[in-house]
Amino acid sequence: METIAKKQSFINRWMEKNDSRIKEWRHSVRLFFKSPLAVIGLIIVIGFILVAIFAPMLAPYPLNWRDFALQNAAPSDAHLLGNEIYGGDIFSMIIWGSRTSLLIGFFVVFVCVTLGTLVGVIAAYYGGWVDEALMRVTDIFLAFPYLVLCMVIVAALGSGLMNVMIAMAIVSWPSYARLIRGQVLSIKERNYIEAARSVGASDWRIMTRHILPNSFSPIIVQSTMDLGSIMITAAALSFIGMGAGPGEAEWGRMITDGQSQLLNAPWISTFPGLAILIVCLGFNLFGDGLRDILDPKMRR
Amino acid sequence: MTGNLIEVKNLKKYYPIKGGIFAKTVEYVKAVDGVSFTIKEGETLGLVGESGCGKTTVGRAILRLIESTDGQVLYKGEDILKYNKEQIRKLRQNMQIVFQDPNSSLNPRMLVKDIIAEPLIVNGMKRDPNRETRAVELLRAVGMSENHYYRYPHEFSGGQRQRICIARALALRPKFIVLDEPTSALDVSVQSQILNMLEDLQKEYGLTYLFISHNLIVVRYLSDRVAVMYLGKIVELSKTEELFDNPRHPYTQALLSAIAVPDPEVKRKSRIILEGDVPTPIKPPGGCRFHTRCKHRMDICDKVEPEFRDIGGEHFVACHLMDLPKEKQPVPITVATPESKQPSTS
Repeated sequence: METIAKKQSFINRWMEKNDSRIKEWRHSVRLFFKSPLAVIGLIIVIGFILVAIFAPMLAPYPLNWRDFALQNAAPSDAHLLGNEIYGGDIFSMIIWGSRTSLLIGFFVVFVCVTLGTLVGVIAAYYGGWVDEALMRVTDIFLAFPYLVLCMVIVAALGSGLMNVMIAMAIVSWPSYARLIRGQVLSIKERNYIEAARSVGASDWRIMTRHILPNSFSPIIVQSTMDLGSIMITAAALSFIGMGAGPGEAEWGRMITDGQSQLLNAPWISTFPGLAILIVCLGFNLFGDGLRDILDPKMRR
Repeated sequence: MTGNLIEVKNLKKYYPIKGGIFAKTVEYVKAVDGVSFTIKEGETLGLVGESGCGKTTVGRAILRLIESTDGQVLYKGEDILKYNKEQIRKLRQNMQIVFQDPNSSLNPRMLVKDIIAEPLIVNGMKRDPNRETRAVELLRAVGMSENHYYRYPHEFSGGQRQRICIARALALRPKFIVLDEPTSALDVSVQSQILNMLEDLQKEYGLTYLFISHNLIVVRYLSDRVAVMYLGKIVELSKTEELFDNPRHPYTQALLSAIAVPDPEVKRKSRIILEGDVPTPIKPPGGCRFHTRCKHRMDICDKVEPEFRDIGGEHFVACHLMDLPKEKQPVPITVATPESKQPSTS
């Protein structure tokens, strides 16, 4: 009896302490759910992630399953979306392929955000020649066309999914560094930074406790939106023969494989293409919704 | 009121203007150009002047939030402009600042408890069990309650936010606080509450203030002595009553004559309206900086810079008129204030 009362008072105390945080959170959630498009985006994104996680349970056929008798077969009851040129089940391959796309997306975004934040914050906070040097380096990366630089790096490293991810991370981080730098430049002039300095806070503390939390929301929006376009780029690289090899369950690769059969078996290219389209759309809508709740101008 | 807590000697802050292809420094904005004053322990020194005259720069330079170009700032006799990073960190336990705009001086993503506790955390009370007690105590000291402890800054009004800023400044038990226009962003009714609170806190904790403002009435209310700045220099410095009753510098006279009197029945004796604009601090006028707008201008004024000297009773003025025999000096205008109001006959 006593322990229950104790537990109750502990919960009450926690609620009291975090009342403002909860309110803030509720407000954001309410704002997000006001937009039907954002909710559709959220559903697609969650659905996509769940499919990727539970692929072994959802896919009717195992990875790399093939029946050469069924090459280019049309959709049927046993094979919902038909079979591709080596006889694999397209529906299963799309489900298995979601794992690859998810891995690529998250890996590239993670590397970009980490690297971009590091470079951007240091450049903007210290300014002067540090800023000058770091920003010229990012300019060099940004000077090349995105896809071309990707292809050059993959060509140098050799094709393969891992190398594609590395190449895309190398090519994508400078835009994050730019974005973060711009944010930090404006935040660091705020009075509360000066106030923190005047009470004796260290550079590290000012960067991590004051600058980053206040400049991170555009990065969250940007990376959500980018997840979609990174998956498209990965698919594009696979399409031109870099990345996944023939017959692998990767969406871009599946489109390539179906290219030669476009007229007599259009389902081979169409369904993976649709998968890319829907997932990319989902991330974009979700990103838009996030922007609405994270952009301070839209709030209150 | 014992010794001098702060002594500022010939403080200068020039901001370089870069120009040309190689970003060479072509000119300087002389924001503060040779300012000297002292602040006695326990007193409030008011620093007034119009926008852009360098008063905020002086406040920040004393705390070393900006690096001065030249001069000395002595705290208890030690030149703090020569301090290294670690010494400055220590020094800032004794000196704090309250900013003008309470909306931008609080981190919007931190709870009030974290904001007030930050000075304690970064100065070695990170694991101290008394930290929370101390933070609540501070909150009470500025007239807020512990219900406000777990809130975000945006949940408060402007006055309350300024109270939070003051609590943060008080956290390290400083001896000296720079108040950089602490009330100018607030409603008039709230202003007086904050001013009264600042006065009470000064008595309670034995604080010394540098009160920066352009609001003369507020300065008169809070300050023991007042310094008037014009274009990067102090033109007059005196005890508050003396300065308001007997302003000697033409600029001070003009400034005081512009005080709004909250009584429609009081007639202004005369109002001095200054001609023209403040000259640019990039190329301040030679001689006396005020000569371009001064109606008592003499031949000497644009050639020789007047000395900032005591004309008796610790009343410092930088004006050539003070060299004239007393009867030739322009009569100081007594400003109509509610205290000197005449009963109206109309």
